[in-house]
Amino acid sequence: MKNYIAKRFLLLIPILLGITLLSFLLTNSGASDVISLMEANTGRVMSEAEKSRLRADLGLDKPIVQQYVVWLGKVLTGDMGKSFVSGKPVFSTFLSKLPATVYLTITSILLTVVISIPLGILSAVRRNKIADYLIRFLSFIGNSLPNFFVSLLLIYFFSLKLNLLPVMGNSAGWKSVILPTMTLALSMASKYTRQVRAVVLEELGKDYVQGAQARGVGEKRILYFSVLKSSMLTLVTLLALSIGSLLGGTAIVESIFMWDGVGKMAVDAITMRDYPVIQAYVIWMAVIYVCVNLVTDILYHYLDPRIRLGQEGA
Amino acid sequence: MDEKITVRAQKIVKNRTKFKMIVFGGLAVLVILIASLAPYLTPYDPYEQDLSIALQPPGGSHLLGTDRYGRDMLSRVIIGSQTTIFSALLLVAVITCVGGAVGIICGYYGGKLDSFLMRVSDIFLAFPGMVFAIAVASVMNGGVMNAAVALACISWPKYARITRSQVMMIKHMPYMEAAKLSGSGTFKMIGKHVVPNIAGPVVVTAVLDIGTMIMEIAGLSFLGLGAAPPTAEWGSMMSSGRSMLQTSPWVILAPGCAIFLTVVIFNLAGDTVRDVLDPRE
Repeated sequence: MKNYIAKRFLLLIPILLGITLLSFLLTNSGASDVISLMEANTGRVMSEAEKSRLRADLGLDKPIVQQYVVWLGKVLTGDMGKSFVSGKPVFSTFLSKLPATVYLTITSILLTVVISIPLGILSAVRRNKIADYLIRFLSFIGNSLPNFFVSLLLIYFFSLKLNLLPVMGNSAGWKSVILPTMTLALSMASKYTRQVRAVVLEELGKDYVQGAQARGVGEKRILYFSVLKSSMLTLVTLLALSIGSLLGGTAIVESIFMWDGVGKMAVDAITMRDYPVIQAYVIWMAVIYVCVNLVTDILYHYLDPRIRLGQEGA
Repeated sequence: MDEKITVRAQKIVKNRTKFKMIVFGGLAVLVILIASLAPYLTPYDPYEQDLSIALQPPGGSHLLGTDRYGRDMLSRVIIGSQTTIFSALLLVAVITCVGGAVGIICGYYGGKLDSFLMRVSDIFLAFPGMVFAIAVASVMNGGVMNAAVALACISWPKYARITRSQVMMIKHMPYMEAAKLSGSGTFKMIGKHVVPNIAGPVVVTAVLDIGTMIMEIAGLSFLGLGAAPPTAEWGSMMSSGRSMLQTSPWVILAPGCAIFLTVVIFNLAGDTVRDVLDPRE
């Protein structure tokens, strides 16, 4: 187990280097000249001498490899430069917006669990019955709706027609989180319900279930005490793996609902061509994603006695 | 589990699959046909502005109403299908070929090249989907083609992975050994023995991805990273109609439902293709 964790952490290093290198090359690819962008964004005309001085200040006259190393050193110390637009340090802006996104992610996950686990189990138990077909049909529909369309439909019905919920912003307390949460949970629950169904079905087909049935153990008891217990680990892992993608997938929904998180920050930065902000968003979301997945993987290996004991015994 | 597998039952399943293939495959072909013949099918000029008939509700001479410049929504939805559907199809074709080629090279040759390419794909997989696409698209200044390139960057590793594992599974099959012993060269081996035997799962993934890609291209356009405003594209049409949600919801509903229906059709077709090629469940 210790060896496994050490190995996974070692593998993390080239991936993190790759993430930073890719993000660096992307935003420094020459498709955009930083200086002229700054000129355009601040609206201040600079002379050629001033431009070359700025270039030297930012280290843009040095070879690209050297630029990368210097830049990476800064990133590691939390210095990701200043926003072209607001002039504020990018990293602290990112940190200040992160809680809103995490909050939205957590509420969406909770709603997903509340919807998916019961529906997935019901669908598996009533396999090929009306309930199963209905649930599968709904999850199919949910999978085929793009989240920006769902957002707009929800706004139309709940905010504009029924006047129940606020349209945008996270100022109205708990009420404002409902619609973005519903949007994000709909697509996630559609996928997750299918996974729950598949996992429970697989577990139901195992020999011990037949054995328990033969011994006269009640169906409910088998379902809740044996089947659910043994499929829980897989279910939790699948859910945890989707946390990362959810964190990264909030951008469109956040910007529609004016939810003041990192996703909206990134979308705003795109319209303003504010590259340091985009860079910070890409790098840190990737790092969070990789770390969440890594922790999930390690926990999965740790919690599964077959794998844990098997490796220690060997 | 509890269904008896008889010849009769198998025949029923087979006939049902065949029927589904004809219906959903037909619908998918129909959608593609509409997209390719779009310029001839529009009842009005999708770009002609007439402010005197702006924001008319659906019905009458304009079946889906008009937008704020008085352009016919139906015509715009039809012409918009071209941009969205063709870029999604092209995108899926490209990533299947690129990812597939990388996967075959990795699986067939193995060794250092394999580990290197797999580490590279690890890096791309480390980015949460849309995040990287947003970054690429924003650096390349929008445009549908650039949005497609951005999505291609994040999607090829999945295909490389699937192809690689398939190739590794069949690599040591007796027929592969036999073909090698009878003197087939590398190209013949790959073209005649590897590709036909691994194509199934890859094609299934590709067909099932068409719907997702349509949604993601539309999503990038919605953010302003895809098609630029005058071009009719479903995502950007919805984005520009956002402010009119309260007064004239059809401006949003028409392209939204178009995306939804297209994705449903391609997903149904994909599910059926999976039933035909990969009948595991």
